[in-house]
Amino acid sequence: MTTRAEAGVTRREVLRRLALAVTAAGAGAFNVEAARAVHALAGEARAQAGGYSPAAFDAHQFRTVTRLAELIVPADGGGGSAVDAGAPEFIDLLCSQNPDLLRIYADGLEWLDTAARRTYDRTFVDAGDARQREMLDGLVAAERGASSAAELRAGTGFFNWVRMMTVDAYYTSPIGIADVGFQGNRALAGYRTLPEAVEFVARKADELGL
Amino acid sequence: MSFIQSRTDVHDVVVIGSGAGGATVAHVLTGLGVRVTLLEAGPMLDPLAEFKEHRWPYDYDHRGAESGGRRYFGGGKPFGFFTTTSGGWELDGEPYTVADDTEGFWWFRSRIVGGRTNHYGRISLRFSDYDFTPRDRDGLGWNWPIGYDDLAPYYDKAEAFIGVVGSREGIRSAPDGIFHDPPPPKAHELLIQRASRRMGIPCIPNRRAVITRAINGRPACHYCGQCGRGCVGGSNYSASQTQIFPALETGRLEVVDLAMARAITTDETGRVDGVVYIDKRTGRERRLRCRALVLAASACESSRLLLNSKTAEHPEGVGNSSGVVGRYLMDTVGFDIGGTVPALEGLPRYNSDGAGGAHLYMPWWGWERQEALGFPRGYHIEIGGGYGMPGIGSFVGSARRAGYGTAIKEQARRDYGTRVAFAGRGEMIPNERSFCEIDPDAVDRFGIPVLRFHFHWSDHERRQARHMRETFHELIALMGGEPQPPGRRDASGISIGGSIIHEVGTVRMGDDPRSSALNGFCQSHDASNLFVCDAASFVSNPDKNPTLTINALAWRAAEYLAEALRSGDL
Repeated sequence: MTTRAEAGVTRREVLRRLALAVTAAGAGAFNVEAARAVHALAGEARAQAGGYSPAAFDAHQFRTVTRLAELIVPADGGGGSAVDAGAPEFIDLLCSQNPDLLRIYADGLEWLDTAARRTYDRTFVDAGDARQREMLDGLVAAERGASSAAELRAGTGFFNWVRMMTVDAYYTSPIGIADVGFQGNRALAGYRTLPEAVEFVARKADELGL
Repeated sequence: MSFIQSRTDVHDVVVIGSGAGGATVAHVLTGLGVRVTLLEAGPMLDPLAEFKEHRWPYDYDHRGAESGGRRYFGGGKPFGFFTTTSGGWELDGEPYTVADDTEGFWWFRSRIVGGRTNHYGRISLRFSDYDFTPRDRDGLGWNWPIGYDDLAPYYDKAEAFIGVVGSREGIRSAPDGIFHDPPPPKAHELLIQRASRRMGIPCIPNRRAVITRAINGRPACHYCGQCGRGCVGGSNYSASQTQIFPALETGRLEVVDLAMARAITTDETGRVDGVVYIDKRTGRERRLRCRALVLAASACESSRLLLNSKTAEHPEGVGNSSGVVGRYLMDTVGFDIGGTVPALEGLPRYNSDGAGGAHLYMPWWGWERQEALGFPRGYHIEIGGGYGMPGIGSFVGSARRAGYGTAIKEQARRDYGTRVAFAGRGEMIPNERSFCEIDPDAVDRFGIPVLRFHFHWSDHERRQARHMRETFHELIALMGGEPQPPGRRDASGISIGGSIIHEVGTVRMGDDPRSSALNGFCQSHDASNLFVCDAASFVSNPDKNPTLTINALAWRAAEYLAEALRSGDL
């Protein structure tokens, strides 16, 4: 598979990386500025996808996965949603590469619509926000062993899959990485531990009696 | 034996394997003016193509889950998509077998220039003085034919050349070396350090093969924390970038890649006169003649080659008149526990990537009261934690606890950075039931007979692992945290044999040719122009990760070999 990064590597980046590298062809001149440039150029290579045509799902399946992703990781003050992070495309792509995974989703989405029709007389995406949340509340209760939701237990396996992959798509995206506040993957001239973090830990250790 | 194609010239020294041992020999010998031909079973390494340094998960459509989401089904690259591991626990067409009496044994092989040093943890610990005389301490195992003073000058040379961060501490179990300045402790490590001090366990700057000032044309670390992905600039030690590539520049090293050694040949006096290998590009068999041969194919692979080389003069395999080749296989005793520490909730966010790996570790502290502890030998503790780059699986546990919705985001923000991990790495006592041998019923895709492994932990190791569990639980409890169950392990909680990738021994050194295969210079008792310069020579497996000692032993052997070539002894 050609990745976005590989497809987008610029001639400038190749030249930069050659200048840094210790390879069989010899050692180049490396400095922190050049390392920073590599990090920056690695970022430049990324392009946002435009209109997406699902490769594995039909239009209804893709709409359903998109709605699930929106519900599982919605936008809030700390960041956008899993849909903004590309979760539906991520799930569709992997399903298009793996019949076993596609089967899990096809069966799971069918179960979801069947359950929605049984209770609400319409498909999941058409059931409306409140009823969709009611179903997800039921699935979470079922996976936690709440007896009232026993009829939903059959759907918890699929729910786990879609939640896992939605969460992974979000936290591996620029907005998810920014949401938790990861600050690394940079070239630095020196390393120091943030003094406020050191003070915080010293205070906690005192409180614990250490 | 007939050969489709032979090279007729006689090479001075042929080295088999380009990992820590083979690369050190190649570097030292070429530096002393000796011409070296090096066979590597894998391809030449191209760091620019192979290393994923500085990449983000979103640079790949699969985000690190790999094509079709292989990671979700238990597959994918060992240690994750972004690491630069080449090879793995299983190689296509190159099987090994595990004996019926053995619960499990895993064997990690990297077929590439630099071998496993391209991705390894880079922890670089000297053996202690007492590690060379284990039998004198507790009557178990065997003593080494060399002592700390023999090896210390070569630890000095190896550390000075490859570059190791660390600090001078004066702790007997962790002898000081030639160190680069270590990076300061990370925040969570300071909390762990406070807990360990409460238990009387030293927690000191880690010793890893990373440089914090430029040496030998290699730039200082730039603190992206991604050593396991490979460092394009070569600021950490890898045998490929640190030793093989510079040795190539001398013009005295020739690397023959994609060359799978099949057998060693000997002349009528029993001396080694060459090696037969398969050229993987053509599938053809070739032969190299040589004045001296250095095996450094990794401990078990070197044993395999010796045992597969039965000649008229060496009916039990070259260098195996003692019958010890394959015997006394050891791995490290591994026991890991993670924990969640609520006291770290709310810790200010900062860039904790650092120099890769932990900035602190805990050396063994109980060498003076082994009898009271109830198990022989010791272990050190590696620690984990901090604000790692989010990846596949990072917040799946948080999501499960939260259910769905904005609660997931809130839970993930609370959980991020609160997880710590402890990994005990302890000494295994060599035993008669742990060995490798040629499987009479299996060959690889080249037709070369493969290894069959026998591996058994004893109560010594099980008692040690119990002590690790108690220690880690106490450390986590002191921090007010909750322990989580360990990962892969056998029923007693110890790691599967081989899974720590510290397999050592099987061609051990010793003074007595009847009970050892090599002398203290890694030289065969049976064939004076044969050396084994990987971890196969190890007599014991102290709680010091083996690579630095492989470097030191290989350096010492290479100088000895160069002198023997110069003086005409070989």
